[in-house]
Amino acid sequence: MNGLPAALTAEAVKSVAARVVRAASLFIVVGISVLATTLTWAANRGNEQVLAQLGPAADLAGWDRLLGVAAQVTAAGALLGFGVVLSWAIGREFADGTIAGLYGLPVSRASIALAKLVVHLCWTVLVGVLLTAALLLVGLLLGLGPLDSAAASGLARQFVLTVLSGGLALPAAWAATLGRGLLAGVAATIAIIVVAQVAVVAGSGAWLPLAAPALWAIRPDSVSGAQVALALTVPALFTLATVRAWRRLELDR
Amino acid sequence: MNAVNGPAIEIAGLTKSFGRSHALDGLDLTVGTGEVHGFLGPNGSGKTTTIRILLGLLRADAGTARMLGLDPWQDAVALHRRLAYVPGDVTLWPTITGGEVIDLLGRMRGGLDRTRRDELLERFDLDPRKKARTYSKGNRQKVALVAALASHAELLLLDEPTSGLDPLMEAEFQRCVERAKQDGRTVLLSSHILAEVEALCDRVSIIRLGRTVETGTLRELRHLTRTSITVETARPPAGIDGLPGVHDLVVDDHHARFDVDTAELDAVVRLLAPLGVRSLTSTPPTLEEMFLRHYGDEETRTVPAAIR
Ligand SMILES: Nc1ncnc2c1ncn2[C@@H]1O[C@H](COP(=O)(O)OP(=O)(O)O)[C@@H](O)[C@H]1O
Ligand SMILES: [Mg+2]
Repeated sequence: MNGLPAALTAEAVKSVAARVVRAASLFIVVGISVLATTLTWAANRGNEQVLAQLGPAADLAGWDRLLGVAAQVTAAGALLGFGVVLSWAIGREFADGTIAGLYGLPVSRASIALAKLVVHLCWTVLVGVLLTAALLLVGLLLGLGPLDSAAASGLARQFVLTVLSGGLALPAAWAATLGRGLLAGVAATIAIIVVAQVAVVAGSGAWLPLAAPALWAIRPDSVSGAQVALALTVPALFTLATVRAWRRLELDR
Repeated sequence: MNAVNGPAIEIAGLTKSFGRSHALDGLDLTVGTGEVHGFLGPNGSGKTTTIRILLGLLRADAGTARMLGLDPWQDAVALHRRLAYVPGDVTLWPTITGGEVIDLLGRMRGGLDRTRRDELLERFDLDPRKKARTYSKGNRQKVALVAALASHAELLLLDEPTSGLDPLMEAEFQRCVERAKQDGRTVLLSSHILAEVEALCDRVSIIRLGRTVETGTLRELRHLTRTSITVETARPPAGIDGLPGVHDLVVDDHHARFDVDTAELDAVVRLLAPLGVRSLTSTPPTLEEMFLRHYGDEETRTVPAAIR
């Protein structure tokens, strides 16, 4: 890849300095932790309305319930945050007009697109670590009992779900490229969330790559390993599609 | 440098349309290696489109373009390692500082001369520690200029690079281009201001409606330009009307006002000097006047034979 290291440095510098990225990190980590805590706490006290809202996580208890609720919120909330930031990272280059300068550099367009996606992946891993740590802290504070192996694997699934949600947001990168702006990416993000949510709430969709990771995080026995692995086809396909779109793009608008 | 043998830029019959608008309509352009070439044309004549094709940001519909012996679209990455580009309207990532932008661009272009960068920052009076968001248009322009001039690029593509710079900085810019020329770099300088190009360029190509209408050295293009003269003399200014190349002469007592073909300027000055010149204003021709005079407004003129 031509100039990938330089492109990675540039994208990393831009992301670290970006307020959008900081705000989204806060939104995802703090927002999801607070929401999951409040819902679990209310459900634990027998709040019927909340229990009705929880869907598959209502039948669970203890750590399972907290992590089930967190997974449900993550499936929508983290995906939204990741999709918006990804749309921004790509769309802003078009909207701000920085794309021409970017394309004038001795770095292949494929490298620039790939660098953006790699930086996105690194960021989702960081957010995954922080969110999982926050939920661990919350569980201990709520007195959900000792961290047994079931709870530990639940936390591990939460981490994997967060990172996979980052991957499921990748169609937003492709859409922002084709639409040359933030809006197309955000629209794609919302479409992904709606499809995934409908499938999760309907209880079906283990074979739907967009929904499988969340279902698996809530009820690991209901989704096979192959079905979770299938979710990886989304980031794989859309990485290729995004890189290809960057390679072919003409700046004629 | 494998381009020493051939021209740095060679464009023939380049065509590009955006929908129904024909931005380029068979443009020709040849820029020799080591030359400072003026790319002159009114707004909307296709200068930016040409440069964007050279940068591989656009693909031409027809015609050929070679730069440093390579193809601008296919070999974009290899080419971009050897060139630096300054657009007329520089946009920067708002949250990082000007200094960071310069270093990022430098790193991507494979390094930059740090001493030269610091010297340029000083010359252009630019504070590199400010976030790009806070820069004025002129300061953003300076960031891109410093990054380009401090790079090791052998070819500079400058697309109306001084828009937004004040006259002092414009003079600084001209010194920098002269230095780039001494260093043996090739410069393509697009402009719609005749005077800027006159001060810097070895050769000039003039385009209009996406076509090249004239190419040559400035001396060869002198016949295209007229200078406006207003003069007050001690003795009445007689005999001016008998000189070649004088137009629109108005004589009023000791004052005279007229236009003269720039190529014939010398004879006018010889005639005026013995009359005792009390005051003299000469206004350089503008590109717009030149176009009005030579090319009128006809939309479909044929390309005159290029001057070689
Ligand atoms: N992206 C675009 N879409 C539509 N028309 C364009 C686009 N870019 C340039 N044009 C048109 O092409 C012509 C040449 O524009 P340009 O190359 O920017 O001229 P210049 O740089 O000499 O001012 C103009 O008529 C302009 O309106
Ligand atoms: Mg232009």
